[in-house]
Amino acid sequence: MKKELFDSVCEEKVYERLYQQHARDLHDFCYYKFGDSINPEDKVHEAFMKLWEKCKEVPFAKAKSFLFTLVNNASLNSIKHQKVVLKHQAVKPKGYTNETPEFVMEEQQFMQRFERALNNLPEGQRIAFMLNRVEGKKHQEIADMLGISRKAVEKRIYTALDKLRQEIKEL
Amino acid sequence: MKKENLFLRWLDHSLSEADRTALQDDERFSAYEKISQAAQYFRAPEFDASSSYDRLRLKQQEETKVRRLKPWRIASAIAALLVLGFLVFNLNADELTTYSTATAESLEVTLPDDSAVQLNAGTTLSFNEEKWQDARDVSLDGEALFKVAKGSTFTVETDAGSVQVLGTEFNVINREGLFEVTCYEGRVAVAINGKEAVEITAGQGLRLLNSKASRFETAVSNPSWVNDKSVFKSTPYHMILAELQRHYTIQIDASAIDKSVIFTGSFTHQDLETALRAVTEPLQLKYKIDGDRVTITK
Repeated sequence: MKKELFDSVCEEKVYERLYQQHARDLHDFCYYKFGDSINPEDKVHEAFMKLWEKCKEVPFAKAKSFLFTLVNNASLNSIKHQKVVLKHQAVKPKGYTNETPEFVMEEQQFMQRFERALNNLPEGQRIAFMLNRVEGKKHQEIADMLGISRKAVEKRIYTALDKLRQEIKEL
Repeated sequence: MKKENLFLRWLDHSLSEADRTALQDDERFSAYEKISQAAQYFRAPEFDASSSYDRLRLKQQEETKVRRLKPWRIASAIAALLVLGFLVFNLNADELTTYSTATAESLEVTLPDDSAVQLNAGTTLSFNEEKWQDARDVSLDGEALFKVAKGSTFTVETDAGSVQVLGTEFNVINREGLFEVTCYEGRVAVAINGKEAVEITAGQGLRLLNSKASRFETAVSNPSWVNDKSVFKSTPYHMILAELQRHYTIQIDASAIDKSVIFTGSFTHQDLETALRAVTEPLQLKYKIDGDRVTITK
């Protein structure tokens, strides 16, 4: 790790490596934070541009938290974009379709309910929940990304999960 | 192991297969799993870091073109302006705007406050345009008619005295030995060097000839020279000759005559012969024109 001490973010190779390492997580983070109201890549680019501008001031070891802090603090300017909506992906994770029409109906209703519940989650909970459940991130990883304690992450995921369960239980 | 702990482990992706079977029949767990599966439908869109990086670099290059150049451009523009402004200011701060008329020439000048000044031949008028707001001073050498814009005040400085304008139309003569102010409209305050200012109103004039001050009245509404004519009243003859030389490109040799004689009369600016006759005949003098040389004799 000694080498890292001398890695300057201003070096393009180092900069690119940082991009390869973190861009995807930042991208996902942004998506779960803002939904489809913005292009998450734009926010990632903004953060990295800022990093490039301040490459002399940000040591390599601090680059990751610098990036995530920027994305985390980013907010939407336009009021019409305040409603965050996670889009239902067209492609189903499972390919089989040998289901009864009733089942398909129920599934559809379930998904509608789920979508509403998910979008109604507080931002912090939704991000933690999605990163954990969908992106398979461990609690500590999420804690590092959000700059909060591992305990707080656990609580957020757990709360989100329970809220979703309450919402769809009635079905 | 407590169930809560198992849930936590499951959530942290560190539940062993054995523990998983322990949760298998739990109603809450199956609900969680269902939620977990449903959440997969809301996965973030695909993201390819490499192509995204290329797009970032492209953006940055465009940004560099726009951004990096801009501050430099602005800085250089500011610097250039500063230098230019500095130069202009320094050159102009003490530099006077000067208007001069040559022989037989008349010029209409507009002052920064829109007052009009008409310069008679052989006259120099100068003022500081930059500092006009602070010091509304006009210096005059020669003769000029001032038509001051309403509500405007300034001072006409001459080496013999100054004229403080009180909103008016007036004529000032400042020529060797003669300082004369004639007011045609409104009033002006005339301060002859070292003396208290005297106010004169329309139709009045103040003359300082050879250190002797006198007041006079005038019936005309503007000085004669404006109408291409020079009119004199009890004026030393050398001044008439000097004025003649200002309106005609001539050299007058009058060494044979007494030039201190007082003359009252006028001459036209249109024709030299007529003018010469007008100023010589009343005094029974003779003149001879030889090119641009005029000799006046008894």
